[in-house]
This record gives sequence, structure tokens and C-alpha cells, in this order.
Amino acid sequence: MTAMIEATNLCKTFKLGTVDVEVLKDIDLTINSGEFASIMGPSGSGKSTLLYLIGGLDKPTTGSIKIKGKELSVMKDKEESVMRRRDIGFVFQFYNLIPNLNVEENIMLPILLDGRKMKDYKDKLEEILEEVGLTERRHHTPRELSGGQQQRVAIARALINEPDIILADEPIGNLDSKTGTDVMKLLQRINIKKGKTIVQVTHSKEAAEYGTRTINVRDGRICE
Amino acid sequence: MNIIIKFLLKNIKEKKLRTALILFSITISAALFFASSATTDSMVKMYTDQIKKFYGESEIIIEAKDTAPSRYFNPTLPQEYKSHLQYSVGLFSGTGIYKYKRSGAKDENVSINLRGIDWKDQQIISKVTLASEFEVDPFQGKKIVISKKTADKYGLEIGKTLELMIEGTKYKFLISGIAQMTGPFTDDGRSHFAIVPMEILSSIYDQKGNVSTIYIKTLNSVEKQWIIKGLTASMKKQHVRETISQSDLQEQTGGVTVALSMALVLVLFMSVFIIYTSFKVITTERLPVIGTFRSIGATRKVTDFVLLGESVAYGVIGGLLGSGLGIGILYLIAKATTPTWDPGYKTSVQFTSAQLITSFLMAVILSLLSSLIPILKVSRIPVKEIVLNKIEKNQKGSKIWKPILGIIFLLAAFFVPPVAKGDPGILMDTVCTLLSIAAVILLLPYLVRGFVAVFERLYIYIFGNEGVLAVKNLRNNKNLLNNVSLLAIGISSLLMINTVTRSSVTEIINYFDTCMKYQMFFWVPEMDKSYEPILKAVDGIKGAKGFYSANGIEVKGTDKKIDSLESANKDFYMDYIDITLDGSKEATLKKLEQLENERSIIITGVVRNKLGVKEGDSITLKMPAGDRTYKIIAIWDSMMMGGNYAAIAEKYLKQDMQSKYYSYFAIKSDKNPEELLLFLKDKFARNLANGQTMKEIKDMVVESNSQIFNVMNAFSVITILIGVFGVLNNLIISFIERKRSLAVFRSVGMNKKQIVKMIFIESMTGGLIGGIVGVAAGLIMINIMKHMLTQVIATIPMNYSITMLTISATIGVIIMVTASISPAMKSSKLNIIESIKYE
Ligand SMILES: Nc1ncnc2c1ncn2[C@@H]1O[C@H](COP(=O)(O)OP(=O)(O)O)[C@@H](O)[C@H]1O
Ligand SMILES: [Mg+2]
Repeated sequence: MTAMIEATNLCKTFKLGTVDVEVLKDIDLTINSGEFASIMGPSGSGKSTLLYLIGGLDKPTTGSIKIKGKELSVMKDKEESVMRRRDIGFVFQFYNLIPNLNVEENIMLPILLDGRKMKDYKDKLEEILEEVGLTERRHHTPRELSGGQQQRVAIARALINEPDIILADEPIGNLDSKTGTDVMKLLQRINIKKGKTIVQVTHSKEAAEYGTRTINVRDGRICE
Repeated sequence: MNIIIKFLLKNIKEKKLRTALILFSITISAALFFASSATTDSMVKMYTDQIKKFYGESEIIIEAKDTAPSRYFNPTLPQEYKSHLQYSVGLFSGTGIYKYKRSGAKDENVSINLRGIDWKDQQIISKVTLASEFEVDPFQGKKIVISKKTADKYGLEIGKTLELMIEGTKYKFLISGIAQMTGPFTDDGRSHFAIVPMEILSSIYDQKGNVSTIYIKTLNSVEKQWIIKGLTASMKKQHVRETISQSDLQEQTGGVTVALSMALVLVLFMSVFIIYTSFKVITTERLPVIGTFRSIGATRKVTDFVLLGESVAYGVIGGLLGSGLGIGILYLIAKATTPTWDPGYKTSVQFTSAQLITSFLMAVILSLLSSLIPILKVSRIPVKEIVLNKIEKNQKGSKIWKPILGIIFLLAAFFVPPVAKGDPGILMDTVCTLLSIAAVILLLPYLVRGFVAVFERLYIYIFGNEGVLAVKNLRNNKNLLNNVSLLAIGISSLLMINTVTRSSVTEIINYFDTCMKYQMFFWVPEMDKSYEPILKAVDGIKGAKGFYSANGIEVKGTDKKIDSLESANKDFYMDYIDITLDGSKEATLKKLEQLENERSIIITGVVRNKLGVKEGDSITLKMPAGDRTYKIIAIWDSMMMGGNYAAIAEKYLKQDMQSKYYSYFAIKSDKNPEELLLFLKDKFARNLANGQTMKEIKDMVVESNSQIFNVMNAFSVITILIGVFGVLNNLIISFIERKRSLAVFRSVGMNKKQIVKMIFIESMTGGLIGGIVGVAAGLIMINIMKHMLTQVIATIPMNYSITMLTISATIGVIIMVTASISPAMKSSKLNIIESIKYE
């Protein structure tokens, strides 16, 4: 088993005016390749913050994060961006699609940003559209889609570049339970069939059960 | 009610930049509106002031007619009018030559215009302030008051004598006064002026008791016209006229007024667009709250009232600021239009409180009208739809009437101006200018779609994937449409005004450089054919021909005048003036020959338009010999003598104008004209020679025109400035709206450089589209202006180069790219998480 994500002595403090709010306190966490981990905990406990730090969307106050053995804090913006598009796929609670791009274009974003040609990924796109069940909707814009469909576009976008890691922040938090189940099943399939390492933040016990491991966060500390 | 107003005030304060933008455009509009309406008044005042320096408060001036046997006449006025006058003052004009001895150089003959007048009479018409005096009182005998300029230039001192040659005899005058450069001594930059006692001058000329001019002020100015009529009837050999006539004023200010209103129209259009689009945003923003207010019982009237109140508030504040700024701008325009070649003109501003109030009201109405449509639209939406957030669907479908209307406007802009004639034609052309911009704005969504499709294909090769993404971001982008509109309006105005003004200057220069085939005008009083061989004998003179000319000839049955009527002698006219009629030299010569056969006339296009006549028509001119009818045999498209020009055969001009002498000699020379003119002036000083080189006239005309052109260009720069401000505002709004999208780009792996690149490609593309559309609109407007100028002045070939068009389009790119520097930097420094989270 190789460690995909290694966080050691991770601390994060936010300045709220003059007050320092310690959101994450000395976190140590290792997630291995092929794991499907669910981070759980009460609202405001720092789950999203942890996930964003892992994805390099924010910097820790102290401590280190290694992704596939590489230290994040020493990376330049360029390297970090490359890592985000090649090694990590993000899925957010509110989908976060680009409104003026259609389904296909949204999915292809990481490819485009990587300076590759869309047409070289035709087959790949077909396959992923099939996988998430949006072949028919490929030319629609996000606002013409339902929440579940938008979330599936977001997942497809996270998958297109074949990253090893998928980070999902409450992926079904905004969906009804039927759609939620579909999305969870999709993530599980990706974890099992493709062997992707998945870390999700979730509130629901059921959602956590699709995973292989649960990490509980309380008051900025991990209590597994 | 209170809470709604509080909410609005809070909103206004929050959107500082937008509030500033709206206020800025209203303020500028009000200011320019005020300035251009008051400019005419100020110019009138300036012109009147200038004239008053010489005439004082005099309203009527009487001089001998050109045809009279002598310049001098008996000043006795018919008894019946005397009791109606406040004063009537006679004066006696003459000329003296002062030989200025320069050590080591040739003597210079300085000609001094002498005014013979009683000292107290002079003080009645216009006050003379003396810098120093010596026995000036009593003002009798051979005393002279010279100007400070004359004294300084030739080292003349008070109490010394000044020797003048008058009528061939030398006289010694006592310099008993040196006058400040005010009143009649106001410097005209060219000549010297001095006052001597009336009696002494008239007796030197052997005209004791006679005068050359009478100045009159009436007791009751209402009677002015009646008095002029009466005096004209009884004084057959004299010309009785107003010192300042309405048509003179018109002539002085007409061009400026037309130019300013045209420029103003463009600025106003820009403002209307900015206010309209801002209010579209404002009403959509306020929609949810308005819905809430209405759902809890506020009537439609109340919410309408509040929105309208906001727009009125902008209008009131903008109107107040604008009135203040307007006075400043008025002063600047006045400064720019003050003739600098004549130091007698003093910059002065003139406006009425009515004009201030009108501008203020204009600001309020401008704001109200521009915001009315968006406000009414919102007002019509049922509360239920607002609360349920259903409106978006209503606005989605693009309306078919927009492109259709756009195309109709465009066609009108193309096809109406060529057929629009006369005064209504000018109005129609102005409307067409507006229609062409309106058409551009209506058709813009379709144009932009086309551009985007093209760029999408190109950019993959030029800029790679970031280019493709940038173009995709521009699809159906309202913000882009706004920016492109703003740029297009600004750039088209700039291009149009710049082209028109430059072409006009070029045309003027061209006229002097090519149309006039001689280098100077030269005249002395009572010149006849005998001067021709004398002049030709002068070294450096290649040719000299006498021309007869008359000014301000009234056309019977109209209130129009022909400014300049000249003799066209078929034997040499074409050698001196480059004229082509009906396309060929032969045809032109034929026409000139035709002039001799019967009373016929060649008029310029300007005169044709002014009189509304065509070739083959006849016009009757009021001439000293009586009313004479001339047949129009040719129309000449030329800026000759400013455009208001006509030519008739020499023999008819002599007969009908009763002219005995040439008005001037046209002189061809291969020597430096300035030197030659100096030489001639000196040589013929005894004969009171005078002249002007073509270059002097050209410089003066170019300068007087370039000043008003500068003002117009300033207007177009202001239009662009408002546009830039609008673009900046839009980009900031767009940045705020896009923060989330930008954070998403970052989260899926876009690096900082890529973000900056993408944003710059977007703005560059937007700028390019704005530039191209602006240039296209500008070309349409230039075409309209060409037709309009043909109506007002003359056919002026519009010259614009590819370079100029490219620069104009590039201005769009530069504006957009510069304006997006700050958003681009902010985007790259964006905190991803903060922007991605829903608050
Ligand atoms: N950018 C920020 N600035 C200040 N405080 C923040 C910021 N982001 C998160 N927080 C605070 O950190 C705590 C944890 O937030 P988060 O990680 O979003 O919690 P959750 O576990 O609900 O995902 C919260 O108290 C939140 O207010
Ligand atoms: Mg969270």
C-alpha cells in the first residue's frame, strides 16, 4: 500500500478581525492508494478546510502535506496547478460548473488547461459521458440541468484527466436522496473499478457507508 | 415608505463606482449642453465687444458708398431725425506716412491710420485712456495722440514732434498723448492708429466741414430700423447700416453652433446609453426587494416612485454639478475660440440663468427618460413572478423586432443622407447619425456572435486553449455587449469628428495651395490698369492682374447674401484660379466666355445650397446700379473665399457695381512673398499700399478653424472618456460576478498565468470587436457628415487612411486591455476558497 496523501502536524488558523480562530489543530492523516475515505463531523468542525488544504486550494498555517510523496508547500503556483489538474479531481457541494460553458466543455476544462487538444480526448469523453449518463445532455449548459445532473458533470470533470485522487466536499449535500444515492454509487464504482483514491466530506452516515474508511473530525482534531 | 428610501440610499452608497459613473455622465452631459448653448452667446458677446471697442455704443454707422465720387461728405443730418438721437458724431479718416529712420538699414515707411475727431466726441463714442499727456487740452492744431505700441516700437516720446507725410506733404505734429491699448487704440496686430484734431485733418485734405464717417446712437433703440430707413432714403450717396447686424452675428457663430450641437448629440447619446444600461442592472438588482416590498403591501406606485426618485436624484445632482462644470468648460471653449491673431479679442463668457436652468432640467430629463424603460418594464412584472423568481424566462427569448429595426435604421443611415437637402436635410442627417449608432447597438448581439465564431477558430492556433476558453467566455456575454457598445460609440465619434475636422483643414490648406495660383493680394486706393505694367516690372513679380470684387451682395427675395462677388475675366481667370467646371478645361473656358455674352453668374455649391437654386435658375442681385438679374450657368464646388463666392464677367461687375477701380491685384511671384510684399508696401507707401500674402491668409483661416475643431475633438475625447469609465465599471461588475467562475477555473488546475492570459485575451478580443464595430459605425457617420457638410459648407473629400482606421480600432483594444489590468491582477490573486463557497 502506497500513501497517496500524507498530512503531518497540520494546523490552520483563520484571522477573523483581530481574533485568531484555530480551525485545524495538529492533524496527522495518511490516506492510502485505493482508499475511499469519508470525513465526518459537525458543521464548522473544519472538514472542508482540511479537504481544501489537501487539494492545495489553501495553504496550511504550519505542517506539511505530501501528495503522491511530493511536498505541497514547496511547489510553485505552476506546479501546484499542474498537480490540481492531473493528480486531483475536485467535486463541490454546489457543483461549481462554469455557467457559460456547455456540459462537454465543462468536462474538458482540465484537458484544455493542460494545453492538450480536445479532439484527442473524444473517445475518453464518450466513455465518461456514458459512465455518468449524460451522453444526451452533452451540449446543454449547466442552467438547463438538474442538480444531480450538474453534480455528475462535476464528477466527469474530476475524472477526465484520470487523476489518482478525487476530493469531494459534500457531493450529495444538495441533492435529494434518490439522486444522492445515484451519485454515491457512481463514486463507489469509480473507486472500485478504476481504483481511484477518494476522500469525501459528508454529513450522512449512509453516504459514509459507500466508503472504506471513516475519519471523524471534532473541534479541529481527528478522532478516528 | 421610509424604509424603502433608506434601502435605496444604502444601495446607492454601496455601488459607489456605478453611482459615480451615472453622475459623471449626467454631469458631463449637462456641462456640455450648457457650454454649447452658451458658447453662441459668448461668441456673440466677444464679437460685439470687439466691435464696440471701435464703435462704442453706436448703433448706426454712415459712410460714403464705394460708388460715391468722394469718401468725404457733409455731416448734416435731416432735421426730423435729430431729436431721436442721443448723439451723432462725425469723424474724418486719413492716412499718414511716418519715415522711420533705422541706423544702418533702409528707411521704413510706416503707414498710420489717422482719425480726425473732436476730443470730447471721441470720449462719447469710446473712451481713450492716456498713459501720458502733454498739452492735449485744448485738442487743436497739429497735435497727435499715438498708441503706446507705436510709441514703443519707434521710440517716440511725449512732447516731441512726429513728422507725417499726408497727401504728399510733410506735417510736423506734436505728440501730446500716448494712449493705452484700449478703445479705438485696441491692437489689431497689424496697423498703427492715431488721433488728430478733426479740423486739422479735414483741412489738410481740403475737406473742411466734411466727414468720412458718422456714428449714431439713438435715444430709443426700437426706432433704429426706422431711422436707418429714413436716413438711407435721404442720403443717396451714403451707406447707412447697423454697426452690428444680425446676419453678421449669424455668420460669425453659425458654423460653431452646428459643430457643437453635432458633437453634443454624440455625448448625449453616450450618456443615455450608460444611464439606460445602468438602470437595467439597478432594476434587476432591486427586483427581489421590490417584490418583497410589494408582497407586503407596497403599491406599484410606491415602488415606481422610488426607482424614478432615484433616477431624478441622479439627474438633480448631475445637473447641479454639470452647471458648475459647464461654466468652466464654457470658459475653456471661449478661450479656444478667441481669435489669437487679433489681440483685440478678449476671452469673455456670457450666459444667462435661463441657460443654467435649462441645462439643469435637461440633466433631470435625460436621467429620467433614459431610466424610464427599465423602470416601466419592472413595474409591469406581476408580484408573483418576482417572488417566484420566474422573470428570467420572460427575458430570454431574443426579440425579432430588434434586428429588423436595426437593419431599417442602418438602411436609413445609408440611403437618406444622399437625398436629404436643405435645412430639413441637416436635421435628417443628425437623426441619421443617431440612427446609425442605434442600429449598431441593436445589431450588436448578432455581430458579436459572428465575430466570436471567427475568433474561436483563429484563437486555437494563436493563443492555444486559453484563447479558446476566452472566446467561449465571450459568448452570450451581456457585459461584453455593453463594453463593445460603449467602445463603438466612443470610437465612432472620435473617428468621425477627427476625420471631418482633419479633412476640413486639409481642404482649406488644399484650397490655398492649389486653387489659388497666385501668391499675394495687393491693393492701393484707386488702382487701374496703369498699375499692371508697373507691378510687372518689379523684380520677382511674374504676373499681376487686377480683379474687381464686391462684398455682401444681397440676393433679392431672400435674406441671404453673397459674401464675395468677383470679376472673372476669361482671358486670365483660369491662370490665377484653379477652376474646373463640368469636368474639363475646355468646358470651363466655354463657361467663362459665356459669362461675357449675357448677365450670367457662376456660383459655388455653398451659395447654391444657401439660396436653394440650381443651374439654369436666375437670381436677382441688389446692386448700386439697381436690381440686376443673373442666370446661373455653372455650379462650382469650391471653398473659394470660404465657400460663399460667385463670379460674373468683369464688364458686368464694373457696370452694375459702378466700380471704377480694381479691388486688388493678384500677384504671381517666384520670390519670397513676405519679402516681396514688404518691398511693395514700401515702394507704394505714398499711395497707401497694402496687401496680404496667401500664406498669411491661409494661416489665419487654418488657425481660426482649428480652434473650433479642437473644441469638437475635445468633445469626442470626452465621449471616449465617458466610455472608458463605463467600460471600467462594467469590467469591475463583471469581475465580481465572475469571481466564482474564476475560482472554479483555479480549482480545476488553471494557474495564475493562464488566468491572466485568458482575461487579457478576453478583453483584447472585446476591444478588437468594439474597435472594428466602432470603425464601421464611424465610416457610416463620416459618410453622413460628408452629405451634411455638402449642405452646410461644401463637398469636402473625406480622407482617412488605413493607418487611421487601424489606430482607431487599436484604441478599443488599448482601452479594454488597460481597463482589465486591475481585474486581471485581482483574479490571479483571488482566494479560491472564499470565492468558491456560497456565503
Ligand atoms: N476563509 C475563512 N475565514 C475565516 N474563517 C473561516 C474561513 N473558512 C472557514 N472558516 C471557519 O473555519 C471553521 C471551519 O470551517 P469549515 O471547514 O468550512 O467547516 P465544515 O466542517 O463545516 O466544512 C468555521 O468556523 C468557519 O467559520
Ligand atoms: Mg464544509
